[in-house]
Amino acid sequence: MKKTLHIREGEGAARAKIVVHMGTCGIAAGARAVMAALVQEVEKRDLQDVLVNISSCAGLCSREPMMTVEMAEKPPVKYVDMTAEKAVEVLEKHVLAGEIVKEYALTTGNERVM
Amino acid sequence: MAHRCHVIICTCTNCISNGALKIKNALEAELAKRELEDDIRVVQTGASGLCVNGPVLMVQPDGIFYQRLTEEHIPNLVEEHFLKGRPVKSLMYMPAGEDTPIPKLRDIPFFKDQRLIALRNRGLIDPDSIDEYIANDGYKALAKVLGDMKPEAVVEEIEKSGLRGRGGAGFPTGRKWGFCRNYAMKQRQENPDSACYIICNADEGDPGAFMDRSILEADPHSIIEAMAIGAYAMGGTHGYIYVRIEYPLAIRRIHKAIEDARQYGLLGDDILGSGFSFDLTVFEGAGAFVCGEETSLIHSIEGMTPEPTQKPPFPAESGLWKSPTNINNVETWANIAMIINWGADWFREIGTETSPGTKVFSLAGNINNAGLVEVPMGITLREMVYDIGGGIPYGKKLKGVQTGGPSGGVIPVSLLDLPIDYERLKETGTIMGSGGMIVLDEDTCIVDLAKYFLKFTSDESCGKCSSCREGAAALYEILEKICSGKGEMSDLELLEEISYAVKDASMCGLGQTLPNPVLSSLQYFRDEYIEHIKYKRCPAGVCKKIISSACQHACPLDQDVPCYIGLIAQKKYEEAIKVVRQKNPLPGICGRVCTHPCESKCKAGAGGSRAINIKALKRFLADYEMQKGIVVDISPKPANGKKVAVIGSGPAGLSCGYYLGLEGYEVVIFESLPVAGGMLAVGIPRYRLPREILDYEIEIIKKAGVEIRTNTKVGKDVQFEEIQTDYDAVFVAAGAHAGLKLGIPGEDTPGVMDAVEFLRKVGLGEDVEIGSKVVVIGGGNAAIDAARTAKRLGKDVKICYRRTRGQMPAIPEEVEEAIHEGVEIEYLVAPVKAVAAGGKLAAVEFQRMELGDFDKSGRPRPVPIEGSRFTTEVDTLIPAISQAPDISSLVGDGKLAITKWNTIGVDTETFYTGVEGVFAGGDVVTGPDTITTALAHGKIAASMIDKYIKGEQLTREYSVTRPVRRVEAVELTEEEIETMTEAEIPVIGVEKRELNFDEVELAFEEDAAVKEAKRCYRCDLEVEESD
Repeated sequence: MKKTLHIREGEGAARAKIVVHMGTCGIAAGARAVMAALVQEVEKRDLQDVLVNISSCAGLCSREPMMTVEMAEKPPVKYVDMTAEKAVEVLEKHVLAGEIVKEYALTTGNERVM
Repeated sequence: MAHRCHVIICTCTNCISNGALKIKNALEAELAKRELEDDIRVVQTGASGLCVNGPVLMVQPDGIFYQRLTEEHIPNLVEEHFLKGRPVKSLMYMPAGEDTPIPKLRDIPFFKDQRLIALRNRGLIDPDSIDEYIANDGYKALAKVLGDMKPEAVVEEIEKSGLRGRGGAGFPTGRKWGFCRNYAMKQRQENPDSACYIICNADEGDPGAFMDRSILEADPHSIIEAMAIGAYAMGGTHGYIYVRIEYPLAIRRIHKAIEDARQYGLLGDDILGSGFSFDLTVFEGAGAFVCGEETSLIHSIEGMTPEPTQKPPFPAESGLWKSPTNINNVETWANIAMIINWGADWFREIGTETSPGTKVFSLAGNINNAGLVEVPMGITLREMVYDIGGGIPYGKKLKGVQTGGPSGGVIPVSLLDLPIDYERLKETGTIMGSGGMIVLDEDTCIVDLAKYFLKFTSDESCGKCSSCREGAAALYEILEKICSGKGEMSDLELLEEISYAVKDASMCGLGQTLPNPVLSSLQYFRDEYIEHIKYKRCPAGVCKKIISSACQHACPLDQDVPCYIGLIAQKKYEEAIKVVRQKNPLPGICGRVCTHPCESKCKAGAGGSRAINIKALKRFLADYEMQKGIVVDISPKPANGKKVAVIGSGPAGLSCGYYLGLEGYEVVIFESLPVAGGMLAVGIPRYRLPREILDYEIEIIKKAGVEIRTNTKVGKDVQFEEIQTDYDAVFVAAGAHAGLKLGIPGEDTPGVMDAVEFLRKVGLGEDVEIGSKVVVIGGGNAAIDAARTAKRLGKDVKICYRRTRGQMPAIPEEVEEAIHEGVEIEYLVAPVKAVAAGGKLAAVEFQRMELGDFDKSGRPRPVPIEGSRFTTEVDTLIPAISQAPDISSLVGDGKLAITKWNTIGVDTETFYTGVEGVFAGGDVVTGPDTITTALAHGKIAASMIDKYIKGEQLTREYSVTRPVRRVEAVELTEEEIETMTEAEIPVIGVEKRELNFDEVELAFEEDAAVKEAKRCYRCDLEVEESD
């Protein structure tokens, strides 16, 4: 079951997972447009190994819309103050070219749970 | 022995020549001092490739590079990085072209101190995917209790954990479960089919609280799982999630989650084959605040009017449809599965003794990082506001924190170090509540805030108890009256009396707590209530009916700012300057050097935008008057034969003399210096205030019938007692011309010269001998003035300030210009010793500071960093830390009251000293303050002196602020609205400022002034006279 959470390993593995944070705060700040742009771009480029999914509020409501990009075997990177254009730029630079877009990135790594 | 981390230091030739070995020794010494040598190992290595930035350090396994280190950096670096685990960003290496390295999540303050239990899956899983929840240990706790635990063991475990109700009251959850289980079991003995209900209270209603919504949206299964566990433990037969209809996304997600859980056999009959059955219904509440109260909530589900009923019987005994019922808040439920999975002991280790675990807070209001945070109980408010919250936006000051919403209260800045748990908050007069935390900055009016909450609770009172229904309305009305400037002092006692009555006589929590915002604000901010009632002032600039417009209200001279700005927008400049002159005798001076408190409250400047440049607009008008030769109409009343003496010709003296002159008094100003103007002439450098402007304004003052006798020192050239006898009244406005000492050894060495003395000598055109390495100490306007003046004399100048730039009291634009002109500013350093050689100053020893705890003013206190002393070659040291009055020659027969700050004590309302006929005002009373304050003192003193001489009672009347006349707003064109930007003030180039004292700032061109004036919101037009 764990594998739906993480990027699959081995043959046919996804290279990246993009999570758009869609709590009320994110949606109010424009997360739907970010999500739509990403889905459209992934379809247009036929990126079958890039997963786009939703999650809820990441905590920092004042910097929504937020988005987390997790490349295979790399710590997740949180992007803040996203727009449709910025999200596509992150898709191109970070997901496809492997360069973190530092201008929009807030932080990398996971939160302390427990 | 394993080391926690390695510090790799480059000791190549290059780095050694840059001092790498010294760094290494300092580092090892510091680590030993901190007893960290077993944790941190220092390793030497060869060329790192970054040696041009040497000496460099690399910390592994963190992978952080520090560069350009000096020995002074080491103590701070060790403390921050190795002791506190906070990498020092300012010293980190950054590749060219990048100014923001992306930090690790657990290094950034917002996330670092958070510990997620209730919010464990936030932002991590897809809330619509039960598979993702399960993959993250979801439903494991349910499987555990159904498989391995007896129901009573579950209750016991929760009780042992010490978990307390997160809805606000903090009742121990395990005990609540125990009661419900006992009643359910008792009833079941009589009737095996009897019902027991499990309810999740998601009727979140506190303004500013949104954690329940967020949990339901982010992790709905965590609630379903917990409720099933609770039902198993208590014998629950059915559950309700009571959620307000305003949360559509939460409702949609919880519905989907329930559907999925049923499909997976995690809800419904025979869950996981255990024989235990339980199902859930989502009940959508209409959003009444009182439904957060459990008996009201139960009645709402029953289809009755949501009104509370008397307890006991508690819901555990007789709740929903008279069956045993347990209600817990969303966040309480969200903790349950984690406690089952990890055990009560684990949970107890987090948080405080009496309040174990974490608490979710919604951080809102005037805070940089607004959002939802989960932190261990016991964290301090300071950590919440400054570390996690990232401080207050736009450089504003923190005023307090409102917790517990309409049922809570305001915690003032003085209690910022309070550890947050249920008991401590209660002791301060507030409550935890559901965890709403509204951060308030200086622009929040406390009375208005209390009024807001009372409006809310009086709307939301269900009306069952008259104490609550009528009491809330009565409290609201009194607050409204105070906010309109119509309050009376007796209202304060009335507020308290009603508050206690409402508390005592109301049945449910809503009524019992609704007076809290009033009581706690009265406890901590009583002065602000008195300001509203007695002085008709709203210091925050909020209460519309008192302030009219915030700029006018903030001006000590009550200048009709929106009126004259409105007239500039209409290009009626002559009318506009007349409006200015009605209340300000020195517009050309104020237009140049006023500290413009009006702009700090300007609504156009709210939220980080640029305020209207009010000061520059005033200057534009003053210059217009001067250049066009507009005659200022001064027509004093006929001479009344009475004489008033004024000591000192600074702004306070000039203003007092001017207004008395207009009333027909014969006024003589005694000035000890050869020039008139006080600090305007000898404190403020000419590049900010040219002498011809000062002369022009003083000439106008003289026209009112004021004589100024320069070179006449009271106490020397003329005796104070003589003046007292010869004149009907005396106004002492001698200013504060004595620089304060630093209090360090060697301060009397030649080469140390106070800023006041230095500026005075330069202002009077005397020869001043200063060296070529000048250091100014201080962060106020005097420090900046002294530094820019020394720079103009062709010297190398550095300012050393013990705090940081954001805390400098100097006008920010002045600091900016000083930097432009090449003045170096070093922050967080303080002098400790002046070192002499050959009878002259040769060097100064400094100590580095860091910001520590907050002082009473809400600023962090600078505290010395141990072992951080260093010595710099200095030949002229100019202390500019503050000034005090020099009243030795005035004290005379010792009748005047002298305060411990060496100022003259007066009645703060009338400026009367208590000595027959003697009044005092300006800096001699306040210590160094602004020109506008001094002008205001002079004007008020003039009216008091007038009353005194006429034999009237010395009382002041206060009234709410209103514009002097109505000026219509100009219609803006579409294009003007679209292209609206702030007008820039022209300044002369830095290269043209060398070695001269020419005025730096120039006036607005006409077009720019009109453009700027059109940006004004004209707040004055919002208050009609009928108000």
